[in-house]
Amino acid sequence: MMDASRLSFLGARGLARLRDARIAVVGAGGGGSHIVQQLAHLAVAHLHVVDPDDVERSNVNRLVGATYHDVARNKATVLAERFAALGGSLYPTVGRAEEDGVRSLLQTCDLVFGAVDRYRARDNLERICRTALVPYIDIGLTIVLSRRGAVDGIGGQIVSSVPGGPCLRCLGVVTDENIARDREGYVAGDPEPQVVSMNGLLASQAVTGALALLTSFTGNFLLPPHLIYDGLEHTLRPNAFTPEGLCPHYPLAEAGWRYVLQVKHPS
Amino acid sequence: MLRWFASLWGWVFGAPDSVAAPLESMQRLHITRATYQELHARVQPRIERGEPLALLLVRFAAESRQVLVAVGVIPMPETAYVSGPDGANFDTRAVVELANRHLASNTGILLVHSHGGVGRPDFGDIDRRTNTEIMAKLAIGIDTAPYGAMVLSRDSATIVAVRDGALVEADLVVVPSFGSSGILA
Repeated sequence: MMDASRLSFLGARGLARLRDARIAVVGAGGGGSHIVQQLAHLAVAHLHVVDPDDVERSNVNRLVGATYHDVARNKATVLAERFAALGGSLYPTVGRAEEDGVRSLLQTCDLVFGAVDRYRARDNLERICRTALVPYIDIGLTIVLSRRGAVDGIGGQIVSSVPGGPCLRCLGVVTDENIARDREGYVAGDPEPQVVSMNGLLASQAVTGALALLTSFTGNFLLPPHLIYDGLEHTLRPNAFTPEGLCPHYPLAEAGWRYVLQVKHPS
Repeated sequence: MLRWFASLWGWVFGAPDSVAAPLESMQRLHITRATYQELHARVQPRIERGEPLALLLVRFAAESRQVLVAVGVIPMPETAYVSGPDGANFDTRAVVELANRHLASNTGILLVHSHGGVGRPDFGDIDRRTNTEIMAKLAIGIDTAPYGAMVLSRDSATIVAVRDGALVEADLVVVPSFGSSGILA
């Protein structure tokens, strides 16, 4: 049982909410491992860690909780095992969000975090969550290098995508172009630069946002839907151009399973 | 105790590579805060209507049917109320007609009313009879849309929805809403 004496600011109802919460983290890599670690420390009642991949040697410098002894073991399993004794329950799922069983699992959650590499995966995850009216928090970090290997830019995002509000497409985080680029990059197999410290910064803010959503600890605090990280300027700012109004991509009235019955009339 | 045993097992024999997630036979209703507030407003007693009824439009989130999502609120049409001995009497044809109209988009209906007060409300005897004899029967032969009922208090709710032919309780999950300047938890 977690000692919550230093968490009294979350309020009795907020703590009860955490004790009952069902949260999934999709992507147990550089960003996701920080999120899993923090949620485990908060003793979230049901914490599902989803990742199909195994730990590689090149991951260990940023995969919180993993060591070189874990190479070739599934990431989700390693994290669930490592953070298991902190008071909550962790459940590793070896699979992808698009698989039927995993999708159903995500849709029964109170909140889903996405810390995945690819834009198509982000897009799919958000669609799964919006269909079931499940809030989705997405984090991502991109370090852009010049041809000579110098740092050209460091950008990141934390998107809190709630039903009705702006989605990753409204905010320009996911576009058809970057999904296509994604595919090209994947084919080329370029290793993308990442670093533990910046992943941790984005993950910490994402978990703080989740606490605000789940416990309302800040009263009538309004969480910005989109925070933009600039690693060269050392800033984390709300997107000043967040679209107002309801999301046109996922209208609330169209949530749920809308398979339309095919009625055949006798001719 | 079970967890202690599991850790001892893991320590002695090594942890399993994949642990099954707890996919209980749970049923949940996900509703945005804005829709929930609208629902409350629709069933508040008024001078002209002491116990107003509302119909919550719901769909399954997916084929698994574990999660219901609320997609809209319709007040019970004024023409559907009929006089009778109980608090709120209505012509069932109005509900059947609405159910039929929304079925093509896999949309079902929860019949909603309020008992006021605070704490977890319970369905009364007449409510239970209505749930069994009307709402559960709407689901006969239909597995693409959910049907059931919901009773509200000021700070809680009790929900039943048909699952495998029987009315089963569902947990209420109120989802944060989006306002013009950000997300209100």
